[in-house]
Amino acid sequence: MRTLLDIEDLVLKFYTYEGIVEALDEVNLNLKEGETLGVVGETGCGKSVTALSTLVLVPTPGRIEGGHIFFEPGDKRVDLLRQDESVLRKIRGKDISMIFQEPRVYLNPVYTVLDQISEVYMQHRMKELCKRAIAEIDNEIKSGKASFLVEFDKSMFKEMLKNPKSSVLKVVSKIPILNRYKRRLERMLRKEVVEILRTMEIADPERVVNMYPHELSGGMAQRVVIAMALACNPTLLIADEPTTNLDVTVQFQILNLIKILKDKFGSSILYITHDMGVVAEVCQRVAVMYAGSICEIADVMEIFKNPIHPYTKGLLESIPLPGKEFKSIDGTVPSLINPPAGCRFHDRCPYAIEICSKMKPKMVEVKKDHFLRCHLYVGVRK
Amino acid sequence: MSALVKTVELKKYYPVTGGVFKRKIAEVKAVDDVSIGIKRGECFGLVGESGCGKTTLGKTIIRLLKPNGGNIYFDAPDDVMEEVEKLTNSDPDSERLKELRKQYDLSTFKRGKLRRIRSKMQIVYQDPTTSLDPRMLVKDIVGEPLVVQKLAKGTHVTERVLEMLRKVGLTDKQLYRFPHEFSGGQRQRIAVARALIVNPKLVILDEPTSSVDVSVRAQLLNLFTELQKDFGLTYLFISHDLSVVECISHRVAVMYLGKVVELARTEELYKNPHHPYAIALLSAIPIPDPTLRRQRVMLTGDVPSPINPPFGCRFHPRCSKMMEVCSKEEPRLKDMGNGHFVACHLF
Repeated sequence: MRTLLDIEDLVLKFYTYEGIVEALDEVNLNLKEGETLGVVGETGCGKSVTALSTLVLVPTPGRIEGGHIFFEPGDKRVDLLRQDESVLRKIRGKDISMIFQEPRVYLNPVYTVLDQISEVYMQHRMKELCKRAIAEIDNEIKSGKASFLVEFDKSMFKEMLKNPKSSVLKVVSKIPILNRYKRRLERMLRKEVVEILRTMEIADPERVVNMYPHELSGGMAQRVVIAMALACNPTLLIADEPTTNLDVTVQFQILNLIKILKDKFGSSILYITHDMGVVAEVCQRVAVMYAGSICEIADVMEIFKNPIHPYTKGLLESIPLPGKEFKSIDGTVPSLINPPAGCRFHDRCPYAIEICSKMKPKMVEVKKDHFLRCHLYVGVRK
Repeated sequence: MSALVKTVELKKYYPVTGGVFKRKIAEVKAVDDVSIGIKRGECFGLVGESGCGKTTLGKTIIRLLKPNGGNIYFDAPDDVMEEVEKLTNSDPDSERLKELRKQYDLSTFKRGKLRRIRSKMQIVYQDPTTSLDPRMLVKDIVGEPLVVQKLAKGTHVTERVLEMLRKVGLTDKQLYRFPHEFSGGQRQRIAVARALIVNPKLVILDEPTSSVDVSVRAQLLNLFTELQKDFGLTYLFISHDLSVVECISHRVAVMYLGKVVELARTEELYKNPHHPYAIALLSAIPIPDPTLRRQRVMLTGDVPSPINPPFGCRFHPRCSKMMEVCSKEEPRLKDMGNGHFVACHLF
C-alpha cells in the first residue's frame, strides 16, 4: 500500500511563561492509503497537537522546531511544513479535514447548518458548482423554458469561473434583479447540503438544514461536523476524539457511521482517542503515545495480544474488567516543561534499567510492522 | 441484608418558566416514580445516558433537592420498614404512619433536622476542579465538614484531617496546599477525603472517574473499594461508563428518561439483560478486544425531550419490539425472580 502521510522526527515546543514545554519529541508516524490509524494516550501526551501540526494549525506559543510532514495525495509529494499559507488553505478542508472533539464549540452559534456546510463548498468546489450551473442553464435554454435573464446569469457564472474575485461580480451582486444568479447558486448549495446530510443518516435533513447549532442534539451536531469534514471527499480525515463527550449509544452510531463513510468515500483516517475500546473497534493500526513521543506502533491485534512496551502493557491492564483487580500505572504523567531525561517513561516504568534514564531509546522494528521505542527489548535481543 | 435507603415512588420535577410573569408553563420530569432500595454495605450502580435523571435522583436521595412527591426512608430498622409497608397498603392516613415518616422519611425533614442528618450522607462530585474551592487550603477544605457539623474543634480538626488524608493516599506535606497544585486524580482524592471525614453511612459517587485518565481511573476505583471495606460504606455509584460500573457495583439500575427500566445484580444484568433499552445500551459498549465480534443492537434517533415524554412506555418510539399496549399503558417494575426487576410489557 502507498504511504499517504509521513511524519518524520517532528519536534514541537510551546514557549510559555513558565518555561519551554517540549510537547512533541521526535514523533514518527506514517499512514497508508485507506487505513485507519489510531493514536492513543493519556491527556496531555500530545495526541491533539500531532493532529493540529498535520494541518499546520499549531496555536501561537507553539513552534514546530524540526521534522517533516510529507503528504502524498496524488503523485505529488509535498512537505506541509514548508508550504505557503495559500497552498495550505487549499489543502485544509479539501485534502485533509478534521473532526473536532466538541462539536458544539466547533460550530458557529449564529449561522445555520446550511450556511456552515455550504461555506466548505464555496471555498473548495466553486468551480464545479459553476460548471454545473452553466450546464443547467444550457438545458433550460434548449427546452425553451428560459426567460431572457437566464443568458445574463450564464455570463455571470462564466465570469465566476474565470475569476472568482472579479469586480464585475462584486457590483452585479449588489443590484436587484441582476443578482438572480445567486439564487440559483443557493438552490444548488442547499441541494448538495441536504444530500450530504442524508448520507450522514440524519432524519429529515430538509428541516435540519435551517437549524442553528443550539437546536441540535450532541449526536446530530457531531454528524453535521462530520458532514462538513467530508463535504469535499478528503483523502485524509483526522478525527480528534469525535465521540468523547457522547453517550455510548450515540457513540456506537457515530463509530458505525464513520466506518460506513470510510468505505464510501475511501478516505484514510487518523483517529485520536484515549479509549482502548474504540481503538479495538475502528482502527487497523495503533500508535501509543506517552509524554510527547510515540512508544509503540503495531497492528491492532498485535498491540492487544503482544504489547511489548511497559507503558502499553500498563495502559491495557488499567482497563477495568469484571472479576479482575484494577491495576494502574504508578505515578503521574510528567510535566513536559522539564521532561525526564532519557526515556520519558523511565521513572514510572517497573522494568527500568540504568540506561533508561540516560539515553533516549531509538525506534526499532522488532517484528514486521511492529515498531518500538524501548531499551529493554534491544537489550534482550543483544 | 437490610436496606439503608429506600425510595418509594420518588418524584422530582423541574419547572419550566416562561411568559411575562415567569409562570410555570411545563415540567421536566427528571425523576418520575422511582422506587429503589440500596442495601447496607453494597455498591449500587446507576447507569443511563446523559439527561436521564441519574444525578437528580442521587441529589434528591440525600435531600440536596426537595422531591415533588414520594418518600425516602433512610437508615430505618427492618421492623420499622415492614410496619411502614404494611401501613401504606392498609391504612395510608393513620397517625402511626405519619409518626414513622416524621422519624425516618427524609422527604418530610426540615432545616435543623436535615442538617443533623447530613453527616450520615455525603456526595463526591464529577469534576474536582469545580467542586473544590480554589482559595481554600486542603486543610480547610477537608476540615470544613467537621467544623460545620460541630464534630471537632481546634487542633482535633487538623488531626482528623491528617488521618483522613493518609487514608486516601495523600501525604502530610500536602496539608497546606491549594487545589490547583494537585493533579486531577489527587484532587478527586481530596474530594473523597472531605466526604468521608464525617463518617457517613451513604456516599453518592456522581461520575467520580469521568474527568480522569484511564491509568488514574484504576487507582481511584481501587481506593473506592478499599475505603468501602475499611469504613463499611454504602455507595450509590452514578456513571455513564458501563464498564466501570460492571467492575465496582453489586447491583445496577438502568435509567431511561427519569424511570428505572431494569434493576438486577451486576452479573445478571450484564449477562442477561431483558429490557430492550438495556440490551441496546450494553451492546453499544466498545470492547477492548479486536478479535471479538458480537451481535449488536443499534438504537436509532435521539432521546426524546423529558418535557414531553412519550405516553405509555417512554422507550416505545425507539423500541424494536414495540407492541400496541406500549403506547397506551405505562409498564411497572416486575419481579423476574432472583432480584431481577424489569419494567417492560414484553414480560
